[in-house]
Amino acid sequence: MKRDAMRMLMDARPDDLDPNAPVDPATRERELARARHGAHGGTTVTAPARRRVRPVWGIGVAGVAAAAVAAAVLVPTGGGDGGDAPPLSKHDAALQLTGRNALLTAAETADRQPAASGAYWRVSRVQCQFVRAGTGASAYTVASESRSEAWTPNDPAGSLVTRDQDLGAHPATNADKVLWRKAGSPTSWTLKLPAGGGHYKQMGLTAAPGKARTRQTPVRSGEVYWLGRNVTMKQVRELPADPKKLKSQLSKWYRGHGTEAEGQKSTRDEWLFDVARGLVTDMPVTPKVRAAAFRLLAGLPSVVSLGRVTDGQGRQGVAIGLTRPTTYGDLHQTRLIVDPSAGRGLGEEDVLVKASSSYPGVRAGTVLNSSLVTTEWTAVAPS
Amino acid sequence: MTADEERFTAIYDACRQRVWAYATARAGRQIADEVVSETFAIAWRRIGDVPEPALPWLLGVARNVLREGHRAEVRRAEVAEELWQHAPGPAGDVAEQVAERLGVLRALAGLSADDREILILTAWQGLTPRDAARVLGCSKTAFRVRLHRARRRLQQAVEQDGPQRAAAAPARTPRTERDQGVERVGHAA
Repeated sequence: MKRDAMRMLMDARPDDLDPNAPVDPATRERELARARHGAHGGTTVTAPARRRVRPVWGIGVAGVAAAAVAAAVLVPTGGGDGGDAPPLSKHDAALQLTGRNALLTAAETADRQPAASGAYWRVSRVQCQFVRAGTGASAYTVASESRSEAWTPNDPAGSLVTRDQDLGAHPATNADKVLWRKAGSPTSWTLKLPAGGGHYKQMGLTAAPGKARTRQTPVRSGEVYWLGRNVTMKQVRELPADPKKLKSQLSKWYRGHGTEAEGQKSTRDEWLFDVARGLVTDMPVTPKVRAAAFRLLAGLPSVVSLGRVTDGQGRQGVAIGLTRPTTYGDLHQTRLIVDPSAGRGLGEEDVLVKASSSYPGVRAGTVLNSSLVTTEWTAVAPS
Repeated sequence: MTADEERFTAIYDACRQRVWAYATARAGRQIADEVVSETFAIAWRRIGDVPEPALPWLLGVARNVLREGHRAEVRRAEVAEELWQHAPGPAGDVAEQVAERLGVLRALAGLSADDREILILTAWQGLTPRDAARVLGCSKTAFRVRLHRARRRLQQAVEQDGPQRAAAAPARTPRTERDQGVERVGHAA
């Protein structure tokens, strides 16, 4: 006998998803207080995310702001004490020229590269998120790293393969290492995360790397990327190589809000910056289109140059940045690091521009998280 | 307490569990608390804009928070795992019924995020088409059409998945692995 699937679905509702289930009093207290004091997790909400394939790494850490209320173990903060970060205030003419030249040089380099293709476009992204351990003068910064890889099929009927691995946590800088030693050189840090229904979940950061997890996901209707809307590999490969045409093609997808949500404010410039960053850094566009995207970036008035930088893997580049308020009123700068001689984007950083109660104890100019990207076409994907 | 605070607290008490259930069904428990917090923080800041009834508005906000911060639709496989973990226990259940529940949850997890959301709002939240349409920001007519299609796809998925396959694989994730919580919520498309 054929059963009605809708009826089956109603019967299968997990017990705790009953809309009339009571709310635990402690949870109620905490959530009401948090709402009224405007505290929030912050980091994942503001993290740039332009692609459909977006690592949601960092969610655990985002919960930490809430945990600070309950356990006060770790709060999110930036790493590096600003030591490696390019200064924010140098927006002079010479520097602006550096940025523009770097983008145009990158465009010329890309223009000369041969078009390549393969069965899979592999993107490897090493992400680093910084959290603060301890309190007061003995507090130090822990850098927690993870790697996410994605093999996106050229064939619209293929499967997307992803592999994720926690790479472990460690004190962020030598100065942090000193304080970390004073704290007894711990190799694990505990986060206490609210888990709903008044329960808490212990969550650990450990120095030891985790196991790599590989998954396969069939692709629906060939839509494998996100450019403010779902796009297919074919659409990505067929983007125009003329900067003006590229800009007008991309602008057609701009709907007056950010790439991630209707409620996310975004000017057209900001939107183009977000989308073009993806095109130059980790999307499988042809070198000519990458060149066009660099030229498009060079023409955006709200983008500033931040000078020469070295990324977390020791690669040399030039940083450009765009500063804007987050949905929650904090001021963040999104930075793109470009290697002009390789003709591609190397990675990104998110920087807190102005100290804010959302990030207790974090100084302006601090890097909140970073990601470093490498890409290639491959013939096979892991199974 | 000011009048605003009173109203906010009343809205919280009436809707919090529903917002949490919605976020959990879409993106899992770990994310749900964060989404609930953000949703009510926004509701408090914009208390003057919150309409009556507040629930569709709140679910709409939660939906944006999910889309903005967490890309809920990328975690299909994990949502299935998680829903199954907390599915109603086998109190007096025969194996057949357990298999049926697993089958329908897997079918649900295999649908697109859009279909899944429509079905959850209707079957688990019990929203009227009018309220559900408000959450999704579409017309009532459009919602009915989408619901009809989503139901059809669910039915097909249940029939294809079949009880034999469902029964063969009790996909409960070992508790210990989850409780360690060290692993990130991995990503997939």
